Order: sequence, then C-alpha cells, then structure tokens
Amino acid sequence: MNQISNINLSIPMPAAGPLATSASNDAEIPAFQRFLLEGLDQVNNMQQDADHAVEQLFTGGDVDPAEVLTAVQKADMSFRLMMQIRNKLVQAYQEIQDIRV
Amino acid sequence: MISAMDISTSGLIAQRARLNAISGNIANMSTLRNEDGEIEPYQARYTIFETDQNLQTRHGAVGVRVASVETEDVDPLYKYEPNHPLTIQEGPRQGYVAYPAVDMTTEFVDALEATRAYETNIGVMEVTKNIGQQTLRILA
Amino acid sequence: MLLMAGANAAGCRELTACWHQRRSRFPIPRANETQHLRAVAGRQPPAYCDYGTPVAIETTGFINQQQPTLGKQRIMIPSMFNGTTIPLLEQVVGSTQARHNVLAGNIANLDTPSYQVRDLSTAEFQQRLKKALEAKKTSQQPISPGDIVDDAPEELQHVANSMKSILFHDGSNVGLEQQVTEISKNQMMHNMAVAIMSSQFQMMQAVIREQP
Repeated sequence: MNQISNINLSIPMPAAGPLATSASNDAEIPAFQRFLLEGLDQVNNMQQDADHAVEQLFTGGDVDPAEVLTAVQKADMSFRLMMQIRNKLVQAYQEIQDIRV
Repeated sequence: MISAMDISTSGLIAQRARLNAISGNIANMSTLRNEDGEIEPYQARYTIFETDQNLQTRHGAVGVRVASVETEDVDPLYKYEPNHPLTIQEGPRQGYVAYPAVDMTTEFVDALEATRAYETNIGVMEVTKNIGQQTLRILA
Repeated sequence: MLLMAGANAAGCRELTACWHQRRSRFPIPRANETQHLRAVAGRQPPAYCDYGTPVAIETTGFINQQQPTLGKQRIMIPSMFNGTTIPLLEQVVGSTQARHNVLAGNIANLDTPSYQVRDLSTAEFQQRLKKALEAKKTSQQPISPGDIVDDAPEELQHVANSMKSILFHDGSNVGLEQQVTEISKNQMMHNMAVAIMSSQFQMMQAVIREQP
C-alpha cells in the first residue's frame, strides 16, 4: 500500500525531460516505481525515434522505408503494452478502494 | 533518392533505344541511297551501352545508359547487275551493285534479345512494387 | 507524441473538474462522475488549472475550427494531433495526389503533338516540408500537460498548397517508361504515408478508448 501511494503521488506528469532521474527522493526509489518510470521513458524515446524516422523519410532523407515502418510498429506496440500496464494498475487501485474498511 | 525502380527504368530506356536501332536496320535492309541522295549502301547501326555513374543507389547498384549509336563499317555485298540504274560505272567492280550487308537473321535475334531484356526489366519492376506492398504489412 | 496525448486525456479530466467548479457554459458529458470527483476531491487542482478570471468560451457548443481561447491558451482538442506526425502526413498525401493527377495527364497526352511533360517537383516539396518542420521545432515551447499551444501547423498546411502552383515544364521530353515509373514511385510513397497515418489514428483511438 505504501508503495502504491508513493507511486501515485510521485509520478509527475510527463515533462520534456526523462522521468526516472527527476524523482524527488533520489536515495531510495522503490524498484517497481523505477521500473515504471524507466518504462515510460523508453516508450517516449521510441515514439520520438519513430516520429523522427517518419519525418526523415518524407523530407527526402536517406532512410529505408522498411526501417521506418518497423520503428513505427515497435513504438506502437510498446505504447500499447504500457497502456495495458497502466490499465492494470488503475484496476488494482480501484479494487483496493472498494475494500470496505 | 534513386531506387531500384529508376535502375530498371534506365534498363527499359536503353533496350528500347537498341530496339529502335535494330528496327531501323531491318527497315533499311535494301536501301541504296543515303539521306543526301548519294549512292551509298546502308550501314547497320548499333548501340553501345555503359553503366551510368549518375544513376547509383545508396548501396552501389548502377543504371545503364546508351553511350553512343555507332555505324558499322563493313564491306557491302556486291551483286552483278549490269542493267541496274545504280551500277558502279568504273573501277574493278564495274557492273556490280553494292547492297547493304545487313543480315536479317542476326538483326532479328538481336531484336528478340532486346525484347526479352525489356520484359525482364518490367518483371523486376513488378517485384520491386510487390516488395513495397509487402513492406506495408509490417504495420499490421 | 502519443504519450503526451495519453497524459493529456488525464489532464482533460482535471480541466473539466475546474470548469465545473466555475460553472462554465461548456458542459462535457462524462461517465462515472462520482468516481472522478472522488479522485479529485481532497487534492489541490494542479497549477495549470488555475486560469484566474474565467473567460467565457466563445463556441456554439461544438468544437469547430476556430479554436476557442481560454485566456491565452488554446483548448487542446483540435490541436491534439500536433504532437504526432499526422500534420506532416496530411501534407505528403495531398502532394502525392496532386502529383498523380499531373502525371496521369502526361500519360493521357502521350501522342499530343508538341506536348511538354509536366511534373510537381518532389525535391522542392521535400525542401519546403523540411523548412516548415524545422520552424515548428524551434517555435515549440516546453509542453506542460493540458496546455497545447501550437501555431506552427499553419506553416505545414501551406506547404502542399504552395506546391500546386509550381508545375515545372521539363524541356527534355522524357518517354513513356519514365512517366510510368514516376507514377509507380509516387503511388508507393502515397500508400506508405496513408498506412502510417492510419496507424497513428488507430493509436489515438486506443488512447481515447483506454483500450489498447
């Protein structure tokens, strides 16, 4: 419970920089929280890579269409995975809320 | 960006130029005068291809271009026809008419080869288009 | 990017809570309202929700193209695509369609005497697109959630329109094979842009539905 409330309070809204290094108390970040934040960072990076590759393809850059499509698909899949993780977390939170004290 | 399609297209253009030259040869098989009206038997034309360094893909595939269209320089065929209006009047070949030395069989076989090369280039273009379509299936 | 859109969907909830608190004229129907208020209750609304004096929203209740303003910031819904590559792909698709029409006209006029082939220069289009993209990147301020400010899509919008008035007449009359190849390459580029765009739209749908 403690860890989950930690996560809810200390996941900041995504800013322009990486998340995992901007957590407030750097000394002991719980492993799961670090895992989630790094996952968000990685998903973000993959999205940006895919966007960059698409831009390069259509502004005449020297990039292979297959590489671009693969990058886009990978970014999509990792985003969907992260979204599913988020759904499970929200579901777990709701279940906990439904516990009658 | 130069792609495989451009390379195949250069092949198509070159083979078509070759086919044009061959069809010109066959059409002029019996031509005895040249464009200026002088008596000169037709000499066969042939094309010379070379790789086109300007048409190079990223990984080193090069296209083709027609370097030049050359004229052959072979002896004409001489036939003895003393009553022909265009006989040679004097010299060692008096009474002979000079005909073009164009061998129909050779020219036609060359035409077949050019046609096959043209079709094969188009086949390669189809494969390239197919690869492009299949690539889109990455985005399931 | 899409992660921002996901966060913005969450930010939208905060915004609607603020608006309801200030009794705006812009009611947004929302399922599961009690659960939402429970999530908001007891917490300070985030800083971006504090707009000071509320300004009346000048819309007729529909989200139309004139972007309504709330103070200095724009409501995010029409501009939620700006974080993706969708504006870029719209331009590409528009230009490939226009170019296809021109090339089809070339093929139709193959036997017209003294016809000069025309084309829309892809190199020129790509240069302009690149410049518009760079202008968009340099003008982007740091994004905070719930606050999408993006003037730059108008620059992107003008790229395809500005290309329509540039037909270049190539003096050298290229032949049939060249035209067919150009049509083929144009088609491949078009299909690829459409495929990527549709996958981006599907991703946004997944975000909005909250269901991957």
